[in-house]
Amino acid sequence: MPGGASRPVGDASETVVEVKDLTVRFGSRTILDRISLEVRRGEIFVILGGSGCGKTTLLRHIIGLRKPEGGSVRVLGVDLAKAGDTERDAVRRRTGVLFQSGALLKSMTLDENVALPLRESTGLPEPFIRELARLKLAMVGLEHAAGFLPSELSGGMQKRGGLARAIALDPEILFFDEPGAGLDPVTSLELDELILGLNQSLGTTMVVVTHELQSINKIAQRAIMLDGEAKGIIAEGTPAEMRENSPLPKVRAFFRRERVQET
Amino acid sequence: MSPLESERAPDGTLKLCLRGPIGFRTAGPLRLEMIAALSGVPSGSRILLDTATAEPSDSAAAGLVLEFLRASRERGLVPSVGDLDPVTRNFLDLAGADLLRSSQPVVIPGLGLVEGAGRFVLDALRETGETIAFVGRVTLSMFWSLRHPRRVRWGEIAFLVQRSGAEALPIVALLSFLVGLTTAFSAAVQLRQFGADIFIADLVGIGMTRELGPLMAAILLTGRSGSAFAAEIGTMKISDEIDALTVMGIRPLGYLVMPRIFAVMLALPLLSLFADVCGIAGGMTIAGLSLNLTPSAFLGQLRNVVGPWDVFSGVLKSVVFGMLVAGVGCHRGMRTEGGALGVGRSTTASVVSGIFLIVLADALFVVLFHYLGLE
Ligand SMILES: Nc1ncnc2c1ncn2[C@@H]1O[C@H](COP(=O)(O)OP(=O)(O)OP(=O)(O)O)[C@@H](O)[C@H]1O
Ligand SMILES: [Mg+2]
Repeated sequence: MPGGASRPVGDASETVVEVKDLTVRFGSRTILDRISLEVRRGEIFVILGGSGCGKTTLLRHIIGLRKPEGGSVRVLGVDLAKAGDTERDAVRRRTGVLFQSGALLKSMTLDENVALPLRESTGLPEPFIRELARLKLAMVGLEHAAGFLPSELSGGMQKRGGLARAIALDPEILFFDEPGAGLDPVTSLELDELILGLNQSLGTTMVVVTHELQSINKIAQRAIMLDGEAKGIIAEGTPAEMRENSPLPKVRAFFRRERVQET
Repeated sequence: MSPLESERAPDGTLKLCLRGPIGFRTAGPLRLEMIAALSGVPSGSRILLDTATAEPSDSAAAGLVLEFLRASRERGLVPSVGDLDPVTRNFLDLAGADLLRSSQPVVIPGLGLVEGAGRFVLDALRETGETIAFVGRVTLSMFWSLRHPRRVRWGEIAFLVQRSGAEALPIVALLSFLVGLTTAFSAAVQLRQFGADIFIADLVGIGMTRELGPLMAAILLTGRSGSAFAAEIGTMKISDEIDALTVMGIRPLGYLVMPRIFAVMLALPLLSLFADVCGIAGGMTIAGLSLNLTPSAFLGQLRNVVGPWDVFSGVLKSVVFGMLVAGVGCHRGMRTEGGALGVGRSTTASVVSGIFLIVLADALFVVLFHYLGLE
C-alpha cells in the first residue's frame, strides 16, 4: 500500500464505512435489527432519529467500541471487531471521534488533551507538537483557553476542545455524536460551519449523529433515519427528499417538527 | 362531607367520587380509603372514578386516578375513568392517553436468602477469576513494555511511585510500629512466665519480616491506592474518557493500568521492608520497657534468628501483593458502569476483593513455601 502522501480527496466512489446486516441486542431486547448502510469518501452522512432509537449505539459499533451480535462493520476496509491490534490502531489513527460530552481527560489541560494523540502516535518533537496543538485549538476558536483544565471550561468549550482533539491527527473520517446538543444556537451554528469547512477544505468524511433539524438541513448531504419501533432504517436520502417524498408520515412529520397524526 | 363517596349506578357500576380539596398532603390517607373501597367489590364488576367535583392543588389527584386503575386491574375489576376536574385532565392529557391504558407492572420480589447467598458466592468466585485473568493480561503487556522501554511512561510511573509509596511512609511507619508493639506486648507476659524473655526477638523478627510487614503494607495500600485507582479509572470510564482513549488508538491497559500496577509492584516491597524495620523497632521498645532487654541483646538475638530468606520471602510476597492490589483497583475501575453510584460500588469492591485476594495469596504462599521446603 502506498504511503500517506496519496490521500484521495474527491474519490467519491470509495466506500469508507460499510455496515452490513448489523444486529444489536441488550440482553433480550433487540435495538437494531439487520441494518445496512454505506458511507462514501468525502460526504457528510447524517444519522437521524428520535431519542432512544439507537443512534449512539450504532455509532459505538461503527467506531468499534462494541462488538455486534450479528453482521459486520468495516471502517476503511477493516473489520474492527475482528482485526488485530496493529491493524486496529492504524484505522484509529485515521479516524477521529467527538463524543456527546466531549470526553476530554479531566486530569490534563486542554492543550495537553489535544497534544495527547500527537504525542502517542507520531513521535514528533515536543515543541512541534505544542504548535500543532495550538493550531488545532485555534481552528475551533479556543487558543485563549489552552492552559485550562476541562473543569474550568463551559460545556460548549469542552465540546469544541473534544473536536480539536479529534482532528489532531487530521483524520480521514470524523464521527460526531450530537455535536450541537447542549450548545446555544450560535455556537451550534459555528460548529456546523466548522464541520462544513473541514469537509470542504480537507475532504474529511463526516458521520454525524444528530436530531437537530437546523443542523441537518445545513450540513447533511445524505441521511438515514432510524426508528425505535422498526428497529432499523426507515428512510434514506437527502433531507429534502425525505421531507418531501417519504411515503411514511413519521418521516415527514420529523422534518416538519410535527406530531404524527394518528389514524 | 367525606372526600371519597361511593354510589351504585342503576346498571350496577360502582361509582367512586373524589371531592373537595386534594393535594399531596391529603392524598396518602385518601389513597388507602380508595383501595379499601375496592376490596369488597366482586371481581369482574365495573367500576368508575369521577373527580369532577374535586379541587386538586397539584398532581396528586392524577396520581390517584392511576392508582385507581392499577389497583382495580389487579383485583380483576373493569375500571374506567369518568368526568375529571380540569387540573387532573390537564395532567393526564399532557401525559398522553397510553398512560391510562396500561398499568405499571407489579414489582418482582428480590432473591430469597438462600438463592441470594448462592448468587453472592458465585459472583465472588467469577469476579476473582476475572481479576486474575485481568492481572495476567496486564502482566503480558508489561513484558511487551519492557521490550519497548521508550513507549513506557516512566515519568508517570515515578509520579505514581511517589504517590502510592513515598506518601504512604508515615502511616505505614505508625501502623507497623504499633503492630510490632502490640505483638511484643501480648507475648511478653507469656514469655516472662517461662523465663524465655529473649525469644521475643524471634517472635517479632520472624513475625514481622515474613508475615506482618508485607501484610500490613499491602492492606494499607489497598485502602490508599487500590481504591484511588478504582475511583480514578471508574470516573474516567463513566465520562467516556476511556472510550476516547480507545478510539484515539491509545490502549487504556497500557496507558493507565500498566503504569499503576508497575508503580505499586515497585513501591510495595520497599514499603514492606520499611514496615519490617518499624515493627521490629516497636518490638524492641517493649522488650526494653517490660522485659528489661537491652537493644544490643535484642538485636544480637535478631541477627541469630532472622535469616536472609525471612526477609526475602516477605519481599517476594510483596511483589505479588502489589500486583494484586493495583490489579484489583484498576480492574474494578475499568469495569465501572452506572454513574456516580457505580464509582462508589467499584471503590468499595476494590478494597473488599483486594484484601480478600491478599489474604488468599498469603495462605497459598505459606503452603507453597512449606512444600518447597523453603522455611
Ligand atoms: N448499556 C446499555 N445497556 C442496556 N441498554 C442500553 C444500553 N445503552 C443503550 N441502551 C438502550 O438502547 C437504546 C438506544 O440507546 P441510544 O443511546 O443508542 O439512543 P440514541 O438514539 O442515541 O438516543 P438519544 O438521541 O437520546 O441520544 C435505548 O433504548 C437504551 O435503553
Ligand atoms: Mg445518543
